[in-house]
Amino acid sequence: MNYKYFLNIILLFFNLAVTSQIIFESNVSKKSLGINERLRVEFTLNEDGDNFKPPSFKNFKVVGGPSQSIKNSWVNGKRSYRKSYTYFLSPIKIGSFEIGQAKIEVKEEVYKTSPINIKVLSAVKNPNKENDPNYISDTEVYLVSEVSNSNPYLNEGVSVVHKLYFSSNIGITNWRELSSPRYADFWSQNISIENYSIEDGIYNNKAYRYVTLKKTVLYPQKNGELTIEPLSLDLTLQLPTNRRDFFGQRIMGSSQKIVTSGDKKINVKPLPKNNELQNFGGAVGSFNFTLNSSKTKLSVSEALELKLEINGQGNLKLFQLPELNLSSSLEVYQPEREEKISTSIIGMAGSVRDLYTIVPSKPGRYKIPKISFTYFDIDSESYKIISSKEFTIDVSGKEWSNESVKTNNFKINSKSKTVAFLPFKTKTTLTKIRKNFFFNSSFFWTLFLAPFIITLLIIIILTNYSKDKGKYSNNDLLLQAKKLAKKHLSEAKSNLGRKEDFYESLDRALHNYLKSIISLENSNYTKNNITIELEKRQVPKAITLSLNKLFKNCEMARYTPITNVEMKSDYTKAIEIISQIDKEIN
Amino acid sequence: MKNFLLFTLILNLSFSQEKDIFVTANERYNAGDFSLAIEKYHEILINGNHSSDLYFNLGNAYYKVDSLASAIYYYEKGLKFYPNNADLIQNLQYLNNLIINNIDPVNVDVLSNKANYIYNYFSLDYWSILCIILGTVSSFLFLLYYFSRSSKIKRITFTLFVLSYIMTSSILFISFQNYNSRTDFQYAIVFDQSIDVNLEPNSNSEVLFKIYEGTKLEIIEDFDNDWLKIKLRDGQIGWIIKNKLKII
Repeated sequence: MNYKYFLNIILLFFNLAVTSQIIFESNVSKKSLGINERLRVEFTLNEDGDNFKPPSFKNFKVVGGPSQSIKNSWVNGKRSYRKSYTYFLSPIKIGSFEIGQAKIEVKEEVYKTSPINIKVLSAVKNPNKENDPNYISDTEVYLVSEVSNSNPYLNEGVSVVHKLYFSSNIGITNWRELSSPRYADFWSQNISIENYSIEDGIYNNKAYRYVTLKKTVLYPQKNGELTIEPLSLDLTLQLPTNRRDFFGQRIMGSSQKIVTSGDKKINVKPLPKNNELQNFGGAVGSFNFTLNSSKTKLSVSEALELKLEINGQGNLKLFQLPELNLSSSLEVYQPEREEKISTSIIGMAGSVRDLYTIVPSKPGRYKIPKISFTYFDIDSESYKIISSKEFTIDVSGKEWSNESVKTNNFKINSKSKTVAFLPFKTKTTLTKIRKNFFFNSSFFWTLFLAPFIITLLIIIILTNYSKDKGKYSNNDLLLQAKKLAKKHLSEAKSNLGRKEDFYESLDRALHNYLKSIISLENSNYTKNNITIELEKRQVPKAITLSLNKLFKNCEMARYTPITNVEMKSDYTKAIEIISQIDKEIN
Repeated sequence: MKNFLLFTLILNLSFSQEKDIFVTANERYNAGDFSLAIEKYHEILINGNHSSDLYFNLGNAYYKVDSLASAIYYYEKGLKFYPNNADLIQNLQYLNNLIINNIDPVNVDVLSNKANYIYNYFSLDYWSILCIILGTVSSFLFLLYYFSRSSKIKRITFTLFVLSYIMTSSILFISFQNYNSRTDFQYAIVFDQSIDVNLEPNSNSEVLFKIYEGTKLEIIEDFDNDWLKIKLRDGQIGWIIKNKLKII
């Protein structure tokens, strides 16, 4: 002890003369740390020493070191020296531990550091955050996508704005889009931003500066939950470091950083159902609808322009315009579509119009029917219908057609004929309106059938009447037969001498005479029957015999020569017989 | 006989009154006061009298006040009573050009057109009177044939009888065709600007097509008092609400 003390004093004097005092100390980067953090322990000596012995570092694990550094500098003739041993430690357990004494020998003297108490706490979120540029950029740079309405109707405009928030001590030198969002189930339009301006804003209750990078207007085309894809950016940042430059200002370190905005979900409501809705073309927004005609009076083959216009705000590009339905006599050409739409962050606004060119081919007063346009009104959340006014177009002149169709059609349906509208009638003859037709009425049928029935009746009655008066009619026939007999008899007389003609006439005369007396069918007309019939009528036998003889003569005469005298006697005989039979019967 | 004369006299008197109404209506028409003219024309109809000219003027007046459907309705009604009336046909054709999406009767062939023209050549009354006259003539000819003695007369009367008999039956046939065309088919005119034609007789069913003001339809059947099955001239069939039509 005495020795030590002595040495100390000597050294003190020596030191005063040559150098300053020897200092050996230990420094730690922090006295309390999380278990996942690291600790730097530095042992510094201001003199050259040997045989450095580190403490045992119980409850710690040496992850780095020892690294030895020697710093020797001369300032204004004064020398300063520094020798340090650095260890990086990682705690093993939670608790309060001591870093023990380190020893070093300087000129045979042993120096020791004083022990340090270290508190090891539970894990810290961001170990070693202060100086890590990446950590800084994580907490100080945010890419945010703001959606104006997360629960819109189908086809209702939604805006998505991508903003980059960053704290005031960070500079952004460059940015590059890694992936731009694709809006699969949306109709989308980008609103281009000309100048990126830095503005002040608040995010998460902290003041930041921000840049609006992208503005997009979306019109959802599908019902249900839809995802808006994130935007990813590669940023080049200027970050402050702990180091300072020569003038005391912080040195900025540059760092690359990829930021993304998170997925955004929006829930698209379907439009309310309405069965009675007609002509709904999918328009959502607030609109005005007009239908105008360039003229209302024109002549055939002149052109007319109909303007169907919808203006307002909403999904102007995304719905169908109502269709024009006109008479086939009006030639309607394919409409010309004119769109004057500007898209801003609140959606599409402007007008859409269809210009129809119409050429009437036939004269007349054409009605342009009212056309209704149906849209879903976002503000009142209901369907609204706007109808145009009905109006007429007066077309004058003659039908104009270049088709000259010649058909054999009937004139009533020949279409090639020019049809003109006829003026009203000045005179008329009025008749009673009858509900029932005369045709097919019972009166008609009685009138129609009466003549037939009457005819039938007349025939029936007359035939019956003639039957009743049958004798009369027989008498008539007998008279006729007698007349014929006389006729043939006179014929026979003139034929006297010509044998064959004479006998034929005579035969006929006799036959006709007999017919007139006895009504006999031709088939029963034999000699036997004649004699029987004559006997019935009480004609004497002598007469019948002479009659038969006469018939025989007639037959014979055809084959045998006969003289004129014989013919004469036969003729007289025939007259005799006829007169005798007449006498007998009457 | 005396009574009949008196009756015709009264009839003529009333007709002359109606004629006065017609003349005043025409005056209103000429002055451009079409709605009053229409009123007057209707007065004649209500009194139970009509003529082709009345229907014609009524149609014209309706056309002048832009009531296309009514104009067509009265032309068609006039044609129902006076078919083949050329003036009615012409103005109807003129107005048919103005109907939206008017259907051309495609399948009407020339033959049936000609047949219709013949059927409607005379009015049904004329046809029926012709029927009766020809029937009487043919029965008279038969009587002549039956009771005549000379074979020459018999021959002539028989051929004449056969001819007149054939004519009678063919005219009876024509009359029946004419009669059926009036009673078997019911037509209507569309009065609404446009009507949906549905597949089934309810408004929930599929809309097949649209028909527009002035279109002529044939009515096939009805259902449930409110719905009518209709057929267009090109053969399309569908159901339609009754109250938007007016039956001719």
